Amino acid sequence: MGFVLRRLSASLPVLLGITVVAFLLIHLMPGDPAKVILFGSNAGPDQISALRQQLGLNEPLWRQYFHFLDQLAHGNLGTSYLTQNSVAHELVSRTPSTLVLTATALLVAIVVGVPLGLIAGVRPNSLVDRLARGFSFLGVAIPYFFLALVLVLLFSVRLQLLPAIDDGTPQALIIPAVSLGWGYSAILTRLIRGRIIEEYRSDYVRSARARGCPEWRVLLRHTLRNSSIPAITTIGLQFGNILTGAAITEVIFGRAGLGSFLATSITNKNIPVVQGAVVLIGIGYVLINLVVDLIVGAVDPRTRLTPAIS
Amino acid sequence: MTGSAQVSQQQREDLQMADVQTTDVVVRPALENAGSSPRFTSRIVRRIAQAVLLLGLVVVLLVLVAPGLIAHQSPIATGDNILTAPGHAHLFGTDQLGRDVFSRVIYGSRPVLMASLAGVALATLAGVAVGVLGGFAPRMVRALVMRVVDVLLSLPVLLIALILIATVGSGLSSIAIAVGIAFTPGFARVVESSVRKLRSVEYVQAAKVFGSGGVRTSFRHLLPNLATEVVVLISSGVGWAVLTATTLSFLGLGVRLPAADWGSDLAAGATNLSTAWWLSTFPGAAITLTILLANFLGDYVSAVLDPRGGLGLRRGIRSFRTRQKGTRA
Amino acid sequence: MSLLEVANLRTEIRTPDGVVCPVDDVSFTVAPGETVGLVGESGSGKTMTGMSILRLLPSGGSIVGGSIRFDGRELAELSSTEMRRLRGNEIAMIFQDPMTSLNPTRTIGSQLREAYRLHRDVSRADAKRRAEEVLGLVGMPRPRERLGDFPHQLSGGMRQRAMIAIALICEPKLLIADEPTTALDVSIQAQILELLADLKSRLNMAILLVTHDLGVIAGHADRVVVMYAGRVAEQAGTADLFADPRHRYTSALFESMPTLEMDAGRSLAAIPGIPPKLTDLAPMCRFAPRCRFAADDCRTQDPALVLSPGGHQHACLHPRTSAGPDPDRREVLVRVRREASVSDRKAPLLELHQVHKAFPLRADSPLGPRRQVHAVSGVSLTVQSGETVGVVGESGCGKTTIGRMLVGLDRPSSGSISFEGRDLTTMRRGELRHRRRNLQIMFQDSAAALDPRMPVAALIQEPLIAQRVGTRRQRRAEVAELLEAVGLPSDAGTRYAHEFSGGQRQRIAMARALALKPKIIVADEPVSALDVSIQAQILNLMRSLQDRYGLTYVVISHDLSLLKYLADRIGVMYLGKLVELGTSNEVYRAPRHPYTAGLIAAIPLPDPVRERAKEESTLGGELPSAIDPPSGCRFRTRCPRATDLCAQVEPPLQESAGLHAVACHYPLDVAPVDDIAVAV
Repeated sequence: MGFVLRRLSASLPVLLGITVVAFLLIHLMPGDPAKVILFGSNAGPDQISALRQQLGLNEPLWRQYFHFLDQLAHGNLGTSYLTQNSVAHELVSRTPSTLVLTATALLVAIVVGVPLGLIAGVRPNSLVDRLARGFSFLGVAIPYFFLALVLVLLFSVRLQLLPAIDDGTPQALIIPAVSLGWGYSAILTRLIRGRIIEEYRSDYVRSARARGCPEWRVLLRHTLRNSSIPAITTIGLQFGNILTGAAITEVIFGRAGLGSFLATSITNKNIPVVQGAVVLIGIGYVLINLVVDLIVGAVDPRTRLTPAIS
Repeated sequence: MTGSAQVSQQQREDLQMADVQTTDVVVRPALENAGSSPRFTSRIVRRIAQAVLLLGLVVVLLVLVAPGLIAHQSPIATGDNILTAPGHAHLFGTDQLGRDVFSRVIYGSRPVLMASLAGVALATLAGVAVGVLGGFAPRMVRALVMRVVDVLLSLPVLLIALILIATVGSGLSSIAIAVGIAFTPGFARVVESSVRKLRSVEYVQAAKVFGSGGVRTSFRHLLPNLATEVVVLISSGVGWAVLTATTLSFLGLGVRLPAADWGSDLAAGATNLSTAWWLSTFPGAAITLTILLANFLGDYVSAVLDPRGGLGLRRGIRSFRTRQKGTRA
Repeated sequence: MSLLEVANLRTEIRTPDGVVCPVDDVSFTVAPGETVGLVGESGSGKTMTGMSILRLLPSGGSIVGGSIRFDGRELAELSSTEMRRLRGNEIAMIFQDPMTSLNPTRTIGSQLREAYRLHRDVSRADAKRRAEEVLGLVGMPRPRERLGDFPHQLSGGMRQRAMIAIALICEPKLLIADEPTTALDVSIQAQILELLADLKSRLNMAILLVTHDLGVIAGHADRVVVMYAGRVAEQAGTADLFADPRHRYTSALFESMPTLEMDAGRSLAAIPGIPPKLTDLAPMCRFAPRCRFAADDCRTQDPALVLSPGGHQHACLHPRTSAGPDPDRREVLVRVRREASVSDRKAPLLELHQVHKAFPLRADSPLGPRRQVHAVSGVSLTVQSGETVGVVGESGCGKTTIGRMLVGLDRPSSGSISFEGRDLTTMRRGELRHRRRNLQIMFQDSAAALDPRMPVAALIQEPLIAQRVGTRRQRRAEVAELLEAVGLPSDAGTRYAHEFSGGQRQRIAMARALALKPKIIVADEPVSALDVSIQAQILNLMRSLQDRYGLTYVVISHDLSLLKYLADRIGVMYLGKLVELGTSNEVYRAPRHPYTAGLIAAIPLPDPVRERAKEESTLGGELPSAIDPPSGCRFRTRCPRATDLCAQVEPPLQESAGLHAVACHYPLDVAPVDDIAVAV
């Protein structure tokens, strides 16, 4: 329990920092928010300054920030400049579909990457290992948006097996998830392979064998668990990148979700939406890594310990 | 002093490296195979690898300096033969406006390479500056600097890049700046942890004992050892930068049309995917090859720079030097 | 009928540098219930012999010849499944480092249960019961609670007990113990060795004790097999071997060891050179290049094992013939001891006064109290010019921190360190830097202390450049002189540190420490990473350099016999405190602190007769935490004489009536030194 508290308190400054970044966006992004909101309405300077007043843009920066924080604490992310809808509502309604794609891509990465890395690591320099190394080398090199097109070309255009664009069916998820997950499975393969080879050289594996442990048991009970730790941490650290990857994949496949919403908001300078997205993604990242640390703590007791001296 | 959070912090720092380089763990091919494969295979593999690398680098250089030497047609000249399949006249076919795809792929490499190389250079400068500051500064300053880095690290690279581009507007230099700034926190993290690790290394402490001043120790021991880590960081960051830069140009934030660019050409070809596969495939393949080459180079560089053994470059140079001395004497 | 019969065993390992043959034509036997010691330096093939028996060779390794018969079965011919059933069940093995040899992510209980259920068809509950029983057997306190612990939660000694428990859970007939106590402190080592001897007789099992430590062998092996460079050099009963070694290597090994009772005025008989690489060796005696008795025939033919009466075997063409002093032995009295000069009180060169050092620890919770590790708590010590002061103690006693503070790597939290009468702790930075040239340090791990990117010449002249000493030409000449002084070839300067062996690297570190012509060199465990024969080379070098340059040494070590040989005075540290301080003769022959006495008793003597006559070690228990050290006397938790007074009042370090200083309320009675010397 102390561990969770300590981790939480360590991530508080990061969370605060994220809100600062999000807040500063108003002043970083070019264009007067009031003008953006009133764009096309032929509003005069009076109206604009009135709106500025209303938005609190004339107040000192720190007061604006505290106001922003206060709103945030109440779950209020402001209103979209374009639709005047609640940003929180718009973001939250689009989040599930993006999360589903992210999760599926992660699943692909794990289902492909972990076993491949495992087999390759158990038999280094075997045929499987050479193939796996080639795969992982190529896997990190192919951009997911290119892979997506190639897969569409193969499976939708030529073979006509899978839908090219989102039609709401679960099959429509396959190509986006595979193309996004592919690169990460390559990363995992490489990571796990390296770890397994390392673990196999360690003393405790030797002593497990010396007590008569069969090889499958050495792998499943001893090395696999210990090599999974860096893989779990990597997934946590890559979470943000997978999420943005998912957003771009959504744009390619015409899927509704955070991606296309965010993309249009950035080009339209719809600042509250961008702010909301930054806060949402930042919190998501911190939460995911909290969970990752808890999992790592459960798998590897050494990270949990309260230290004596060493 | 093994604080629990410290342990995970350490792992985190090690892995932050993976965050920057898609090539994650720094694999040292030469060393890794040492246990099981006989020496002669690795020597042949090494020769082949060196040849491929050299060839790749020559091609990249040629494309950057004199693309006209390779592609004889103008990348932007439209023609009557629209959407012709790859063949003799047009090696990679033509696009919707009858432009030669081969020429566009060759010329299209320039914005990508320039933006990503410039971006990595920027990130290296800024990252090393921030990282060295973080590594050397007193505790409070370091804590503050690294907290800011932590905050930026929690935001995805692409999101930072997109916001920056929304701020400064699209274009090639924007992409370079966006890549540079988005990569900085990751680079800074790696540099900072290397500096801290190096400062506690025993040979740095030994230098302190015989009275080597802080500045001297930094130049004699820290920087040379840090430099190799930075070189490894750069070489493995290039592939990731190419990916980020092409993603941005894929989204139409790069060069102004009709100039050739891999990312935007790939996106443009997507609409004709079912009828003209070559439009997207060749730029895509070019991106893939570039990233492959960059990662390959990264692995090679990190293997060469390993001071103990490595690929024996050092030993080779030295034996060359002593041989020269011998002839002179 | 022997339990294990290894005959003409030959093992090869394929590596990128060619085929290495770590075990070459090795034969020996182990009878049921017998302890056979397999002794040799690193690279002698002793560990690989052990691994070959279990068929657990590293990748690329294979048994290419000979036979291993165990209990009537040929192990080399068993299928891998049959072999697996044997491992841990009939032959078990324990390893050097219990920290890395236990899976860090699984509990002790789970690893014990696994070991049992792999070979016995029992329920989980039964396995748990058995696990608890075995943990009790190996002397683990509160075994039931320990079952749920992870390896990192146990101390080093307890971890090794857990390892032994895992090995013994199926009651094997043979236990292969590979350097079982090398990673442990002396007092814990004694406990573990006693435990092994006790378990052996209780379970009637045989032990193959693989070690580099002749002391461990002397006390615990029935027979000894000495290995050198992959071959058996000599094989005999323990008493026989120690009394009458035949092989020139064995006798040279005995001579090169600093022992507690050897005359410290004599130089050690070092074995020159290093062991050969085990690739493509021509037929010859492998020790010949380092042997001062080698003749032409040693360099052209393989010596065969010769059997002499009493089962004593040796493979030497010119064996040592009889017991008694070797006429050829170079007994050089190098120096007169400095004890006399210590007594006349001139101003000390270096003085520590009430030095404390505490390191802050991360608090348990964000708001929790700040905690500190008290590494050094109030140490006062003086060092006279030209003497060698030894600081001895077990790991965690603060001796390394003392060394680091002496050379200015750590600043004391309080107290003062003065050099030539000037306080270093209050000195300004520029002056301190200049003063530093008089205080140099040699680290334990010279591989880490030498920048891998610099050639040796640059490394050695670095201190000169840093202190702006001499011109380029002078510095180059200086490097040449230093290389010569530490016994390195003149072309060593162009090579890199990682191209040298451990002993040679220690010479490089020595040369660098000497470059500024310092008055004091602090040597932190200067030889603990080296093999015995190489150790002697470095120790002799340190002594000859001391005479040549008039150096003062502060030597920090865990090894009391080494300090007894090297140091004029010894300070014994326990948990951040100096508990005893006197000349090395006084401290060793007439220890006054119970801890010192226990420490001396715990050192395994390379003499079977006396080692076996020793009483059980008196140092029970383990080192308490330095975060909350015990009140009063810090040793009271392990002290047989402790009373309430010890818990309340901290004993000061003081001399009394012509006896050396001790910090104890109830110091041991001291018989006049001469009597004991006669008895020894």
